[in-house]
Amino acid sequence: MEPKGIAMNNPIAWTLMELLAIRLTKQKTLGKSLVMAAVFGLSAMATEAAEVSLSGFGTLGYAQSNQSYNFERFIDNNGTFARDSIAGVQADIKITDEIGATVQGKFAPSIDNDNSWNGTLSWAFLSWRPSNDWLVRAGKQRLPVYLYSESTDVGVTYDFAHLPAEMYSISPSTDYVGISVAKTWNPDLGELTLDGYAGNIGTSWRIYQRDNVPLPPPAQPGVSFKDISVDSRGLALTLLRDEDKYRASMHTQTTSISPASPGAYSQLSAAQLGLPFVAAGAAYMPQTSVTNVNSVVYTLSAEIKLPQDFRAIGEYGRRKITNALTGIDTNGGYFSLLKDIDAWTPYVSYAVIKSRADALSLYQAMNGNANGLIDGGPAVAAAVAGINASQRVLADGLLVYDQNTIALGTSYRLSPTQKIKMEWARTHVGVASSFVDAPSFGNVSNQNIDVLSFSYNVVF
Amino acid sequence: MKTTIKVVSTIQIVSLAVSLWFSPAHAGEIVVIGNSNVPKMDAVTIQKVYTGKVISVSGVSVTPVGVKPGTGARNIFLQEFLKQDEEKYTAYWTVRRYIGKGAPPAELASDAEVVNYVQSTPGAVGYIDEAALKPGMNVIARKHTGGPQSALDSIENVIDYAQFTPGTVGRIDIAGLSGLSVIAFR
Repeated sequence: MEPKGIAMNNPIAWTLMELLAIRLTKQKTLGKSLVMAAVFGLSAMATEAAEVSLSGFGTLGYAQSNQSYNFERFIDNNGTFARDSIAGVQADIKITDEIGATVQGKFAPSIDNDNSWNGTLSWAFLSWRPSNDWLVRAGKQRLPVYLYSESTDVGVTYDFAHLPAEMYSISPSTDYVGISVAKTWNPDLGELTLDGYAGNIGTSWRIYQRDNVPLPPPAQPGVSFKDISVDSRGLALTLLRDEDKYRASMHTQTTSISPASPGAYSQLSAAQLGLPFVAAGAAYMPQTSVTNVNSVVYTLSAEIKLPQDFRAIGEYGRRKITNALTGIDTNGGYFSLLKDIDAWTPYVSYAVIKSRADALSLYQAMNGNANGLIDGGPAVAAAVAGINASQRVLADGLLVYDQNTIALGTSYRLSPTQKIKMEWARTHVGVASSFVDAPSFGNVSNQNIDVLSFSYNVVF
Repeated sequence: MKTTIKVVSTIQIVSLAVSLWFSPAHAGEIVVIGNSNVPKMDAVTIQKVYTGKVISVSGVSVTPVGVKPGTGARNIFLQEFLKQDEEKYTAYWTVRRYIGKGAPPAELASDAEVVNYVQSTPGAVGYIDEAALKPGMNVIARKHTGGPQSALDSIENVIDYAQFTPGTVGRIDIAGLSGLSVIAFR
């Protein structure tokens, strides 16, 4: 007998769960045609160009936690090189005095498979600089969201062993294919640049589900990846003043699941099961449908040089979801204090991310929702077990964040092009965190996760 | 009888005597040279050119070049014009390159290569030690770092020096006078 009122056999409901289970992760490679066009086009230009400047970068990073489950995708108590390691090359091509091209490729863990590495084209854009103050770029480029957005992959350019995930995950994609226009002014207070951009990118979002759900269609536990498309447009205002840097930005983004998928919902609400043999008799299920998730992201960032060779770095990010109740509606950020002592730069950092309160409450209600069987045979018992499991699946799909991290670390500058970094970080998970792959049929809440990180970073 | 005058940069006051007469080049002098189509620049503009913030000066597209680390006048140039040391300069360009805002100036092997490149490339700008300066080159800026007394080897260089170095005084033949402040003559 199939329980009434449960949407678990509804493909649209499952699509919702998949959409809600979208995990913020790195962007996918360009479509083949675009990659081909970019590579061939830029190669042709490079052949004709008078000047090609080649450079490379790499990080060999190891991280290990004190927990058996995965944290930040890869880290557990067995240790991993996958979270922080990366290698890349970049070509800066001067085509004319005003026109240039930049191509950057990198080799890193795949964005659509936790067990493989692959090479991707991370940047491929043409630049047109008609005057000192204007810069127009077209192609695949980096979103100007964070203080270190553009150089996130290049560890030598900052002192943190790992940029705080509480901040550096708030955009569903780090890149876009589109056009950007930048205007620079040089008032007395420094160099002021306003960037405006618009573009789109196809990428993958990582989905993690704790439990197996026996109801049709079956939901397999573990990690899976879903193709998504992200439309982005935004503005970023950056001020450079001596050794200080400030950035404020605003972005509107629409994240759509692949066209083959029928759609999704915006609400999850409790409904009576209508089954007299079930004790609690309620379950949460999807309601209103939406075809995409609309978000607005605001950021404020600053890096300020202080007396006695101290530096303060702080970033705040607000990710507001305008058309759905979901845990990815967050406030987050970090504050760090660093001190330069010759080649050493020790630092202490505190980071936090928290979903909106009603999403956290809903997560707790769904995660703890347990209908008890009053009567019925094995088939009914299995159905009720499935209902309960479905509630935890929906809870996973809500993608809530409630964690904070304190980190102590240092970088050591071997040369201007090489740094060694080490860090100890303790993350406290409150209600739950979607950075954690919680064990099957278990919960990770009110727990600490300690992570040790070491890395060697180089550019050449 | 040869007529001589004293010239001084428009900014400044007499403090440094500069001789016209032909003497060996003075160590510690650094000159910024440009192709013949490159206009004169002040130190701030040169700083912007070498940090990628400016790509054209007075309508002329400029291409800066330098010498490799540890070579020629590089350290003095970084210190005097960019107010940076080697480490900060490398770190600056490492970040700038990887935020997608261009590559650092090309680094040539020697002053002689810089001279050849600048002379043959429209818009090119380079820095060299004074000793590598050839007569007739377009000196677009100059810094004296070698001490209180210098001896330059041509009228043009005396004029260049006076134009770009606040507080200097030079003595030249009147035929070389053009656009300078005359503070005395006899």
